[in-house]
Amino acid sequence: MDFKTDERNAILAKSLILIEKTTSALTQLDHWRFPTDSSEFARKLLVQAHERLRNPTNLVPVDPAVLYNRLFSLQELAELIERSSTDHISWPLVSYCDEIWRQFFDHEKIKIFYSVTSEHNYSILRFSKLLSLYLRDVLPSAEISALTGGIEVYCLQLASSEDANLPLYANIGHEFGHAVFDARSTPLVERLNARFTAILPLIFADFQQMDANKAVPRFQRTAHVIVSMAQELFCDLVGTMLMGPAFFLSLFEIAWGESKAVCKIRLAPDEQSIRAYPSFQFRLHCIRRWAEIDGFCKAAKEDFAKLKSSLQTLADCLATVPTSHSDDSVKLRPSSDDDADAIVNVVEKHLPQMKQAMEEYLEDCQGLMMQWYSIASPVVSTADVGELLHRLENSILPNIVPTESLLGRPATFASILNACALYRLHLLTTGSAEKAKELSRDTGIVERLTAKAFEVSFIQREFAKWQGGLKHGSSEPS
Amino acid sequence: MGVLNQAEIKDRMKRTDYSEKLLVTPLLTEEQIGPASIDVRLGSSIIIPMKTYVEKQDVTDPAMIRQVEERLYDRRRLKYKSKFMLHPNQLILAVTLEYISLPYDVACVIASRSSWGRLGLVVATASVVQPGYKGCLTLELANLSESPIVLYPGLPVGQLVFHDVGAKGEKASYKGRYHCPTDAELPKFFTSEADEEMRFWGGHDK
Repeated sequence: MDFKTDERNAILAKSLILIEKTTSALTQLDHWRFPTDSSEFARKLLVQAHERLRNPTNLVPVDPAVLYNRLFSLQELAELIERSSTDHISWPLVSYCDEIWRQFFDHEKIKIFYSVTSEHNYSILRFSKLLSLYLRDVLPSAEISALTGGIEVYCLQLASSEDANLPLYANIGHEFGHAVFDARSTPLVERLNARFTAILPLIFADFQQMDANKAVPRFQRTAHVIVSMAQELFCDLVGTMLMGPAFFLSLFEIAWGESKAVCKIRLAPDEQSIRAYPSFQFRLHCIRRWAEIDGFCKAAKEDFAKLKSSLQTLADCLATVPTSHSDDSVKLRPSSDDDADAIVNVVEKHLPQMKQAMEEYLEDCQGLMMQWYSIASPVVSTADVGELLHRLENSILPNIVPTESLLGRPATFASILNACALYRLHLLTTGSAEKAKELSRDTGIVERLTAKAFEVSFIQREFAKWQGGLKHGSSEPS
Repeated sequence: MGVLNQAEIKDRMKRTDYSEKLLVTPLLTEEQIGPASIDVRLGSSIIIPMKTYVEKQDVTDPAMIRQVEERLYDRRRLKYKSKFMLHPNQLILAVTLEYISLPYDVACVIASRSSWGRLGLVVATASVVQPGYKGCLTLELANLSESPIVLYPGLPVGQLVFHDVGAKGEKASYKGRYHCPTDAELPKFFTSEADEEMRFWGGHDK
């Protein structure tokens, strides 16, 4: 045996063993534990990919080391499916998520499944796109296309122990915004360009003045910074349209303890990987307008009148969230990047005009969204939220809005979320730090009641649909 | 003191003051309210005791009872429309779909529905719920029959019978161990001072 020549074979053998192991692990996953059927679809997709890789004659000529590395990347996808289990994911929550998803996408063509991440926040990734990427140059491209069959699969990664992550629920809307942006990127980027026609030449001129030789790449990278910022704000808009003031509260809470006045840019050698985030205070400023927080607070004064006084003042509390963004600055990483200083200087110089253009752009987007999709506006009624808060202050499940009937009216996902988010904020702002045990018990109760309210309101609506179908002569839900 | 009839149950449910209101939610149909009871359904949270890892359950030994809680039980959440097989002689803890809130002068008793009882399904052995209680109810489901019973969340397996305890003017609030539970709950021994005497009875008082 000569390792000078046989190393390739040894790596190939090692790769084939890894393929067998991963295929076996995926095949043995119990679909019974998946929270929705889409996890099973993703599992089958990955199993089929591994079955194709099993046969070396299917492979395009490739360095075995490349294959071996790709298999490790594929294992990350397998882990996503392994973590898609009702042990960690509340199926009522993701059933509601599926309903929201169907507002935007044909579920047969663009699917989503749910997994758990150890990160503290939610994120969404394009599962099928990553699969294609990892198989590129390993399997023939025609086979890769045949494998996915034109169906796109996303994976929403929920923060671990998400039952206790009530403040993060509203962020699901933001994450779905990324998928909407992907699906509508052409018209959305066209609108963005239109709103930036006056600013882009000024930015280019500044780069030219600094160093004419580097002006073009620096300008291109800055253009990606602008698109990335716009995308984040667009996702905030979607989050607000779906979740209302709860999204405002959620982002506000995420910003606690963070530098709220910093616009963050992360450069990367690959322009597609450049990420940029507007400052929290600018994001909150935009969301405040979109969610009509001031109008909500005004209506709440009347609709919260029967609540105890500390809950009545919640609306005033909302109005005090600081959203002035005139002192925004820019931070860029890695600071060692050759273009770092130039981009920071130019972005900081034009930041006020850029923010103005972004606001105008997002107004356009709001119009487009209403045109493309049927989204309820406003997403929550303060009267409903008031009723649910009244139930919460009496430790009653916030699952229905009381009516003349004993059955009541099942509360919507957004109403439950908003009432619970407000009630939780009330506990955090009125609870005594010396009574940590009681505070923990009380927040625990509101988290449990939220999860249960999602479950039973979902069941109530499904049952009512089925009954409605029966009355109209069908045994299937209408 | 007496069992509330349908009219009295409905009257109590229509009250708006939550301290006086009898609340059972969700009600999927008004037909759930019978002549002297309300039907309750199986919820999604279950706890399955496992025979492995624990040699015995001695509740007088505080050290052992913690071990039993950690090692004996497997928590699961059933999806709706997914089945669960309860095998002969198997006991599981489950939860009601309904959340209840009892006023200060009403207690309730949970019982099997007769049809299920005839199949061999017992839904509760600790069946009295004290006035003022708020939360879902943990059911102790046991199959006393000779063949497995298939259960689905949402099935109406139990019924609540309400009793007016006649506590006029005495707004006694519930002071038990369970605060607004929404899932099946494990037993909570040694979370109340009253349990300390069990050390004595078990000879663990040194």
